[in-house]
Amino acid sequence: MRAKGILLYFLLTLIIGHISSMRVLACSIGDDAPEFSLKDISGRDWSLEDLKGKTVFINFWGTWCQPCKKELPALNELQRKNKEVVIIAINIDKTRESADTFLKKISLDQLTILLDPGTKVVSSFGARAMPTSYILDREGKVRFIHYGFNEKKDPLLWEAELKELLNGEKI
Amino acid sequence: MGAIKVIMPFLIFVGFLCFHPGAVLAEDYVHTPVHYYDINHGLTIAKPVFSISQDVTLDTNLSMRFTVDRVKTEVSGVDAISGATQYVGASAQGSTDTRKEIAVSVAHVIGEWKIEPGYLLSVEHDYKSHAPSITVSKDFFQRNTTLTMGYAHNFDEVMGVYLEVSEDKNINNYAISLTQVLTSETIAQIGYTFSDGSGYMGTGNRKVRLENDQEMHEFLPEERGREAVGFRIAQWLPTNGSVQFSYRYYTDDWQIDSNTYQVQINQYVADAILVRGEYRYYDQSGAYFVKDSYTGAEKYLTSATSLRAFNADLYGIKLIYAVRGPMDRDWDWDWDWDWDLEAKYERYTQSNDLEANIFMLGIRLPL
Amino acid sequence: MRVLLFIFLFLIFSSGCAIVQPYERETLSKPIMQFDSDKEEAAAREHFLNSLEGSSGGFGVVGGGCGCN
Repeated sequence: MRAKGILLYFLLTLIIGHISSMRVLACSIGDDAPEFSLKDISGRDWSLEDLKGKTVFINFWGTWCQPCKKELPALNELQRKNKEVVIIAINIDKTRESADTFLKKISLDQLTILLDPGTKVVSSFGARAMPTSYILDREGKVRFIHYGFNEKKDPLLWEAELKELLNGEKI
Repeated sequence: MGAIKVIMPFLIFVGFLCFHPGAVLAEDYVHTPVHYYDINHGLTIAKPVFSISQDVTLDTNLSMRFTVDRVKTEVSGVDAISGATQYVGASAQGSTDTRKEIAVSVAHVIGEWKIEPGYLLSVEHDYKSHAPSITVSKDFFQRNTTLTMGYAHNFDEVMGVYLEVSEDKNINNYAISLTQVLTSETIAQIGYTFSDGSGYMGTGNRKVRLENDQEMHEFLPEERGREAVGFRIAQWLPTNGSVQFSYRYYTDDWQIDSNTYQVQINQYVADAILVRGEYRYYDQSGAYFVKDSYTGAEKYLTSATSLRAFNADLYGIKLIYAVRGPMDRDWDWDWDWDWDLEAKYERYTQSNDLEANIFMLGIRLPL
Repeated sequence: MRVLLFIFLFLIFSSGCAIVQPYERETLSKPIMQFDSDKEEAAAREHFLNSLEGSSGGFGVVGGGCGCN
């Protein structure tokens, strides 16, 4: 009986601790996407401000995240078919060597790869999963968010969502 | 013909996994460690293992492990590791025995849930075990907390040399554990397991020498309830390594209580070389019916040293060398040239004069 | 001993209960931070020790048997 009481106390402490420490910083649909400035893998500077007026697809990924790595070829294909959209894959590995090693093994010739080693940008977006993707309209507002990667559904959803933003056709 | 019946399904399974159009990026693997045990310089066990794990979709993983234990004794009795003076073994000197085991499981993820049914079959000449199992886990708080529950049932059959007919043993095994991310560099886990077994608890191979020099078959209680609680924690080290501590307390209704303390340090000494050092201390009390000598009038009697009071130390060192292949993108093969070579040595000693040297060599290949 | 263990667990689980964000889990994903990352090694060791010692369990279901006590 005592053991059950102590166990219940631990569980309550755990739950209360989690609830009280949860941050409410996630970027939501309708929000202006946080401004950022990052370098790509060749050292060139990119900023979100420079992409105003374009439909932007931002994806956060890491080499230590299996679904992230599986998603990248699908994003590469999406970029190949949709030249009017800018698809940015932001790597959040602590060291760029991990990303460099991975990128040597796989062809992602269509994607723009940016580096966010300090996780400042992904933190400003408040990504709640890995990978997380944000689709921004031409005014820089977040219109769609994808958490995780569903290899069957996501490529179809992306196409439909981009079509809506580019042509105004609601899905 | 019998060998073909065993090997063919295995080859079909491997073929399915190897030629399935899985992504080249998956961290699926084939792992083939070979263990060699030298116990008390009279018992040796060669243990090759073939294991394969493959994601068949992003949410489903198939795993299979095939193990062979080739046991060879230079002294009398397959259970010669007992070393007890009262022991009388069952087999002739220089005997061999082989145990084969196959374990398969399918893990499927649905949202924050993971369900993993599994099955294990173990066969040796005097023991057969079927054990279906199911494990369910759920993530909470953005995967910072994971609750896992599992159940397995053993349908065992004992066919020792002293048994006129085979005897059954059934065991229900329950497990629950909670894994908690404490910081971005620390993770901890608490676990609790409970099992209740009933049936023939012996091996059917052991005898006991009595005070009057006569022999009697071992006789054990027909029920055994066991429970254990464990705690472990892993901490990242700024030297590009990690340290893990674990503690387990065990008790059962044969009145065996034990404590297990373990520490493991992992350290990258170069980009491609990982060294792991380990120490484990174990102590246990003896079962209530264990005696140094028996008259024969006792209800339960045993010569098994595993049921006696003793303590044990285990020291181990493991080396993993990561072989990295060429990065030339012009290669047409969808083949990841990164693979691991591993080697391990462990020394295990008990206070009852049992000692063992354990060697392992292995290769781990990504699929 | 059990009182100390409960106190220790209380401290662990009540103090550091901050959420670690998904993008902060790179270190935790490394194999040397996993418990029993080498499943084959864990199974081999469990079988070896269970045949020589009177205990088993603590973490995970213990399925499958052998001719050992």
